Amino acid sequence: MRLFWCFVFLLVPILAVLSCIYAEDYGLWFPGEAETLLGKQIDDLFYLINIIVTVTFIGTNVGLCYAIWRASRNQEDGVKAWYTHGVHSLEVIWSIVPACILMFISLFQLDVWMQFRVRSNYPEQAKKAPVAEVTARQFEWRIRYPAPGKVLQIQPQPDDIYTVNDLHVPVNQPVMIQLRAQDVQHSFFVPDLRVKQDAIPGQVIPIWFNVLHNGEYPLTCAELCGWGHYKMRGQVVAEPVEDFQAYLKKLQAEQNFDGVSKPETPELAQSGEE
Amino acid sequence: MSTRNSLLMTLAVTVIGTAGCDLSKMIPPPEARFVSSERADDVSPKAKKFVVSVVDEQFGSPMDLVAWKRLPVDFGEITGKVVSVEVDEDGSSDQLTVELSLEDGAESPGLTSQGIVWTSGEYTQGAIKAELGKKEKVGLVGIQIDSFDVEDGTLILSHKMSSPPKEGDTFAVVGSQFQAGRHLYARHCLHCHGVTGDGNGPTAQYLNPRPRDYRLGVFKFVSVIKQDRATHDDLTRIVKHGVPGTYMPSFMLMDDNEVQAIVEYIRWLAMRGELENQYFIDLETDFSKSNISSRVDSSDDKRAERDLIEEEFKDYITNLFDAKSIYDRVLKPWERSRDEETAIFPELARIEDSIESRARGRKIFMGKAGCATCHGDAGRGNGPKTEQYEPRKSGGGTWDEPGLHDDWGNIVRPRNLTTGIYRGGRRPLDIYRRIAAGISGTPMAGFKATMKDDQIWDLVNYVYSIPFEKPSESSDEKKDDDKEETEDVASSEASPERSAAR
Repeated sequence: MRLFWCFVFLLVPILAVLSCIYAEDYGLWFPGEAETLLGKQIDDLFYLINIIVTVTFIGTNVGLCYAIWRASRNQEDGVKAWYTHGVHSLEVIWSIVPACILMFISLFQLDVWMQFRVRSNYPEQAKKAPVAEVTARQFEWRIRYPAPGKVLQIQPQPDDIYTVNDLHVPVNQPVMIQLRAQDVQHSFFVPDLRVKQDAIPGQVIPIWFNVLHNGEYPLTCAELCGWGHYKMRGQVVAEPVEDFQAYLKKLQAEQNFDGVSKPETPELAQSGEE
Repeated sequence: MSTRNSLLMTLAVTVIGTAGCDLSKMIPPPEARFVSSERADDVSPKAKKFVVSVVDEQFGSPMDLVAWKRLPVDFGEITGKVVSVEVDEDGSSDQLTVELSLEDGAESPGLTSQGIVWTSGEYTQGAIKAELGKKEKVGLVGIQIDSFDVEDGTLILSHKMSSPPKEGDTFAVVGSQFQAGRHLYARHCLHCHGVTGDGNGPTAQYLNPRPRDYRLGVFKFVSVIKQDRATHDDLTRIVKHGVPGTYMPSFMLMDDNEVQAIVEYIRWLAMRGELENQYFIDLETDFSKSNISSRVDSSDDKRAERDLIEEEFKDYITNLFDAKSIYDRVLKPWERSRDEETAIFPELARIEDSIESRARGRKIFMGKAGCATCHGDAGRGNGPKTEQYEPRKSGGGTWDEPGLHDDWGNIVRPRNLTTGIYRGGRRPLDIYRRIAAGISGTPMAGFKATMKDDQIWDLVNYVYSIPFEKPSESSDEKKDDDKEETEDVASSEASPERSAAR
């Protein structure tokens, strides 16, 4: 009986570890590699914490099993249970050791945190010229770019370029966007870029990232914002800077279309799309 | 492997939770129940029943369509060829294995109980007419499909034919795009716009402005004049870009063929709704509830009067009610907007934005065009008309509350032009169209007939500048402008070519 209970309690860490090992094969593991440098650092931190937690988890469970096994031997030996106030030195140890670990984690992650969140540490290049302003509203992402060659202003300008749900950014350089919310709280979440930032009405929150590869990365809202929360599907498109400039020019031409001057493609006249 | 599987069992709950399953694909949306407009409650119950039956006869329901070629709607079709035939001896169906040609990425759910058209073999149109005798449906001659498995290419026909189709016969199943549109509409649009486009879905009551009710056949932000109907491209643009400043979100990232399917479905709903509405209007004059009750009340022999009205109604619907001409009148603009270029374009390119152009535009805004009476002197959408009791468009006195009303009976605020949010789009062409064509279903009039293109462009330039005027400046300017205005008005009106020549 005593071995049975030890085994039952031991089963918990064994199953947990096994399922973690096999999860990757079944596509249940964490998302693929981060597409930003900072994202890779964030992943490293995540895995570091994961390792610490795993070791602690296994250690705790093994300790628990040992305690059960030990205590049940006492019973067999005819020793009765007794009250204890614990062992002072042991208490001190398991207070100080986790405190040290927590202190280590909090200091170790500071660098990444500063890069990600503290404005003065943002890359100069990104800070100088925000790429776009993204305004979250129920239930879409409204995007405002400055006209080519101009700098994004906090107030809308007459020559700003507007689009929606489709955020294009230059690849391989730090870019910053200004995040706003128009109605309720939303959250700008690009899982592949490891970027998640709440958008709060009345605040302009700058966020930056440096996308490493060309591609389209899904953008979702990560804050339940209303019945249409699921509709807030968008995408971040990273492309070479020339393509990005060409894209802006195209948007600008569409936006200035007056129905007479020839647009570059015939479809442009009607749909204003692609 | 088995250990892995047992391991997975422990994770089963998580798996189901995260992987999920696409329910919308498995369960087709249920048959739509059409909601008649408020006018239906104004006419006598008999008249209502009559109209509903007439419209059902002409349109059918999305699951059981009766009109195909007759309607200016692109229903979409899947074409195929019979590969092998299996005859069910005792039953009443022929099972065919077919080879299909599907367009790339074409979704084709819910194709059962659709019509099938044979394009070669002995069951081409003429032959089938003979086969089915008089049971054929209007518009499309066909045998109903009992079940259709697009993946396997198995087609079971519900009608047992005297000799089954031969191998190599080709056919078309009409309605693939329409059914895809119905499914997508159920997924994305229905919760606001209602199952059949009555603008009264479950979430509609929380929205201001209200979602569009398609049943007037009128859409606000279109490229055509008020007498014409929205084009396919207009609706596509609205679905793709959304309507800024309202709850209509953008579906920018949706596939083009999905948007196309939704738009065609919406056009069908709008046509159906508009036709039904027009029938009600036709019957309203004589057979409205209030009319009947006043006639009955004022007569001495109430029972006789009731019978008389009954007789009149029967006589009216058999002899006088002209469904055909109403049908043609309603469908013609829809056909026009499909077949012809009805979208309006300026003849003159946009006049370059300049201080002079804005000043001219401002003069028009304040003066003869009457923009300021609704939009206000500063463009804040608070002109004097928003405070007045306006007459109802359909007659019957004024509205109960002050303010401008749209055709749906909702209070509509003139756009506040200082916000820089333009619901119909912010291209110069969009603003031009709002001014030139007006906004359908609202008091915003079209000025194409009364204003020249250069004047409209001046107005557009002024409208663009309004959000960037400083409030204090504009009031100062106003005083100066007013002085100039009195001097300039005569000369500028006398020679509009002057500004065009610039």
